Amino acid sequence: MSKVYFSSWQGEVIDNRNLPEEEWTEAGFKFPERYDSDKPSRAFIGWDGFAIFDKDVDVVRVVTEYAAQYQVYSEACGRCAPGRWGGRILYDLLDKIARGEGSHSDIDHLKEISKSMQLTSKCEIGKTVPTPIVEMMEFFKAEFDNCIDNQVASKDYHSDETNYIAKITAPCTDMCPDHVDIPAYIEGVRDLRYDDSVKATRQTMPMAHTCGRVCPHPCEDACRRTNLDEAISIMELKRVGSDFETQHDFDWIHPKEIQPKIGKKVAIIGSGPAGLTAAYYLGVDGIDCDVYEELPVLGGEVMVGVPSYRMPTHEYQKDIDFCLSSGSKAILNTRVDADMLRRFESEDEYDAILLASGTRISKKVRAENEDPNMPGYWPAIQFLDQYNLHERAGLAEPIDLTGKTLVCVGGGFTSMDVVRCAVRCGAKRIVMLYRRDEKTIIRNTSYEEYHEAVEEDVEFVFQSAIERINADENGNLKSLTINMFEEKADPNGGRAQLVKVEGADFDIECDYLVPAVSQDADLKYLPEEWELEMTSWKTLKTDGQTFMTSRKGVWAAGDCEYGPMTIVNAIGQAYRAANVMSRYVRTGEIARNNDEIMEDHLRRLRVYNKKEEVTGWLGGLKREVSEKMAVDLRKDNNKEVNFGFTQEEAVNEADRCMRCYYIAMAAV
Amino acid sequence: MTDFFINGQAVTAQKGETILEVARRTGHYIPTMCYLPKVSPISSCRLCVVEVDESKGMILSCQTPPTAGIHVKTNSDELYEQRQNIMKLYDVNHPLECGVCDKSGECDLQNKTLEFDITAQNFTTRDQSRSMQKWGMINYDPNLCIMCEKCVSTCNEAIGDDAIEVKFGGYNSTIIPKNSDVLDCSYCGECIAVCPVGALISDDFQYTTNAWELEKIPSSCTHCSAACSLRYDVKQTSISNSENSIYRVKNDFEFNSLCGAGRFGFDYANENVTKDESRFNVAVETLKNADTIAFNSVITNEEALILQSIKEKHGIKLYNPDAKAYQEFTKAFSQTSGEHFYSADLNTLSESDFVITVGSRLFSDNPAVRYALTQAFKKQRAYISYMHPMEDSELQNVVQNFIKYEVGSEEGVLALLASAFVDNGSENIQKYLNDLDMGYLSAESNVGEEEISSLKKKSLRAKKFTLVLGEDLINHKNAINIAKLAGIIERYSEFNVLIVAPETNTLGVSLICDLDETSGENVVGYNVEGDFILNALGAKK
Repeated sequence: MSKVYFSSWQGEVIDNRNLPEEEWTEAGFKFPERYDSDKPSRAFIGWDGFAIFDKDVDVVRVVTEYAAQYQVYSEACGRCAPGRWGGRILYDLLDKIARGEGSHSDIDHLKEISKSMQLTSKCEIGKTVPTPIVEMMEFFKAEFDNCIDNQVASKDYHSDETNYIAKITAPCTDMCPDHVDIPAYIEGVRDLRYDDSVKATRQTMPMAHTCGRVCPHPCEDACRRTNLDEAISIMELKRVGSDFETQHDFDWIHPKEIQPKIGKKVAIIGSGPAGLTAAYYLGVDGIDCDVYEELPVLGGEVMVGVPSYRMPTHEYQKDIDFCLSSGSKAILNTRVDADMLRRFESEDEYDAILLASGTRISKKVRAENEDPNMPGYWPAIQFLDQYNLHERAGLAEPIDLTGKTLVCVGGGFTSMDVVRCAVRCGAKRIVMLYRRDEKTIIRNTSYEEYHEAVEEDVEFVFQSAIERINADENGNLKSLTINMFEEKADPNGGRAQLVKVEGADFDIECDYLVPAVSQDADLKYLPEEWELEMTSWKTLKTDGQTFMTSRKGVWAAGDCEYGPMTIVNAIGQAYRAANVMSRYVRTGEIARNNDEIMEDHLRRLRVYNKKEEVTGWLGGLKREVSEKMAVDLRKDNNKEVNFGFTQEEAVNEADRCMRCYYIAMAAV
Repeated sequence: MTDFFINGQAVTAQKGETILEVARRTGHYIPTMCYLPKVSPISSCRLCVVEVDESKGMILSCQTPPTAGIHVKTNSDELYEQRQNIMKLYDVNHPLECGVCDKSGECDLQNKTLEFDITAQNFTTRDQSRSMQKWGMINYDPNLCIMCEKCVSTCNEAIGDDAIEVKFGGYNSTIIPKNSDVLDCSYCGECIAVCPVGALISDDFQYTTNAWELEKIPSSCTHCSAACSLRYDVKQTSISNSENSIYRVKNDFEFNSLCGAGRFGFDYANENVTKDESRFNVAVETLKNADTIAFNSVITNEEALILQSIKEKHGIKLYNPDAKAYQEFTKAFSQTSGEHFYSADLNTLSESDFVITVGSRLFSDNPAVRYALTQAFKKQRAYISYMHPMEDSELQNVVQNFIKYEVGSEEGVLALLASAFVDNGSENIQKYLNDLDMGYLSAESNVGEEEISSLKKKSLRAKKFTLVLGEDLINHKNAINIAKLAGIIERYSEFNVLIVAPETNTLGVSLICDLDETSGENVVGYNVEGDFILNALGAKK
């Protein structure tokens, strides 16, 4: 996968040193051979080893710079004795050798201090920074000996040609679409410094309340603690910091100082998590934002899609207010149309535009006789809109399902919200039809969500689909004809296929059919002549790195770019877009900075190693689970179901976190 | 309860105990530098690493709870070598100034360097230029600092000021005032007490003496009714003056915290005491003709007993309005609570998860109660409701709910609390509470009925309740009724009551002396105003 001169990573050693280039073996990892489109990398060094692409790179200087980064990047460190002094000693000794004043006893000291750091450091930076250094000294002993025996500086020691670009990461941070500094906010909980915790979260994520409650937490799938016992309850710990700020009525705790206005303006279309996140970070940089929202409430799909028993209105409003607190303005009840957009651009009203309008058109289930105008046919988005606009804001009629049967087709978070809201509307019977099996629905949503729905008496019919929608003599929805499927293993070893089971069809009588099988983006408001490039699933296409669309000055982030996805994904895209836009309005340049480039490289390399054997920690400690409200107490109301961690649970869980910070560095 | 083994011995861990705590309890030595029992484990020194047969690598015993059946080894050649290395690292570039450092003789760095036999070391690194910091009464020398973080943990978790923090910077890490250019805190000086080396020193004490020259006298503080244990360290005043002076105050910092009054306010001790027989005789004659001895509560139990004996023998009135009010208050309290005394103490308070405080400006009225409140929040995330005519922003990081009531409306406030939280009182009591006009009480006290019902709702999942009552209630004109309501709450609700006595020994005086309502004509003032004054500055008329 990567062409390397030499590499050692996760135990795989590729040594092409004495071979001509054509005969080089490839390394099995996606190293960043090309740093950026116009720049190749010379070497890459990280927590598990290193890779050399250019055989002329100065390896001694590379490890010296790597040790220096440990000091430079120590906003994450300095909190344990071996790390703090050990790291400094590593650098001083390596620099001594690199500049030609070293001795062989220095190598011995390096090995000794490396061992101490590896055994006793507090976090993974201390434990892993020595790893590639020790390996490099071993594999490239000749270069080090040369500097020592001949008392000469290493070949590039005095040269400024190569840039050494470092980035701190962690397996969980890497997996998170928003690259949240998870070990830092967990440490804030552990140290009982909740203001520090929420500050750490808000470096990249302004909605700590929301993502501490309704995230599918992909980070937990990359939690290194899983290798030892169970993943840390990362999501649950996020709300501790923001709950503290809210409950004690503090002024907003900003991660950094809000800059004074610089006289630039950005228009943001849509006030969902993506739009609001961008508004916050652009505002921090002193850029004026106008957030246009077509609904009468702010907050996008989290406000009108996610119900308040999962995401309480009071807390979400706090997140929304926080996002606007950096100086942005929100304009409600305003659907931006093509004329307005043209005006934004042509009359220089705005220096840049961000489209964050989400995906709000429910797709059809594609059954026979499907007519969206049939009474009883209720697309999920409309159903949830009404439910939440009534319950949260009093702006719609309440839904009463007493005595009714509601069938939902889906299997994602939206469908879960639909059926559990239906419970709270007093429905007599609620059925969820899902194409796949129980294991998959848990993977697509979450264990908690599925089980809470089951407790609330939602009936799940797995491996089913609607063949026909049947109406009565008046044209109202009467029943559904259902097909059942089973998985047939492919005799050739390929992917299992879903095959219809003959003779297993049955009918369900119902009053409402709510399709929740994904959504399409509503992009009709865009000027046709802009001819924005689209993806094959009809969302706005961007490069996934700068998030600019095919039209200069117009960005897209969130569901309208990616397709229906999670809140954290929208926030992550918006954060990146906001940073790129911020640089663009100030300098005219459209590019990622080094931090962002390295972030993307690491994502490609994959930081989490599920086969790694974790040492230095005692396994067998259980994962804490927060208490949920009993079914009978929650079925008929919208009180928050999850009580969150108690102090004891939170601290126990935070104590299990191994603070897996890693440093990666590219020599370019 | 978890059964496991330390060095081959079978031991049992209680719920929540770490390996280190069990080891210390069962007599197995594990060295530590940054561990402080009264705060949560800091994990920065790494000295407490142990080996576990069932686990690879070294395990940090201060923050790891044991799992069943593991075999822990607290010492081995490998562990000793790593601990030596850590001590060598701590000693790197540590200024060799034991001869003049104020911590010398009681310094953890000295102790551990000796313990781990560090006679030389071959680690070096570039030194840094760091300037001394002068923070009012506290001086910080970053060159001596080993970044054990005991000071910041204490300030945050034990005290609640959260006034200092770690400035991260790897090797350049240091301690700085938080959110401020200058140190802005309550100056309790506990950071000085917990510092294991000479980095944090009291400005007063710096450069005055060596630790081993001081005579240590255990005593207790007289500034407030917490009467915290402390230790006066004394030595002769100067070369020419052989009288002892107090050089500094120390406390049992591992488990308790001492406020700035106790630590820095020690310069009122009697000095240059002499005997004057003629003045003494005048005092005796005056006393024979007096009809009242007026006194305050800053006296010992022994003195109180002597005054009581004088009263019993000679019929002289004893006048101490502070203790009298407290006496009446606790008597009325007992009438309805059915107990001699209130049931909560500082331990109960620090272990609570639901606390209401009424009528006390705790931050300055009684720091020991305030520290217990901090701990209740930090350890249990207690829901704390602070009821007082004024909010206190100093407590905002610990208090979630400020309820401002009208000055003087404490009786109504207690009645509102009683009606909300008492539900299994006797028939009479329930009738009394039901008959109260809640709307009127709410309007007069400015405490909304929704505020009270919200408080009640927040308490539904709590387990340990404490009600703290301050001196505003004791000196209230309706103190008796307030006390009875408090007694009802003590007896018929989940709350344990803690009554904060106003003065140092108000409690002692109230228990020992028969106090009179009014003063007489011929008043001898014992440390207070009177027709004739007996005090430490010499008897005078």
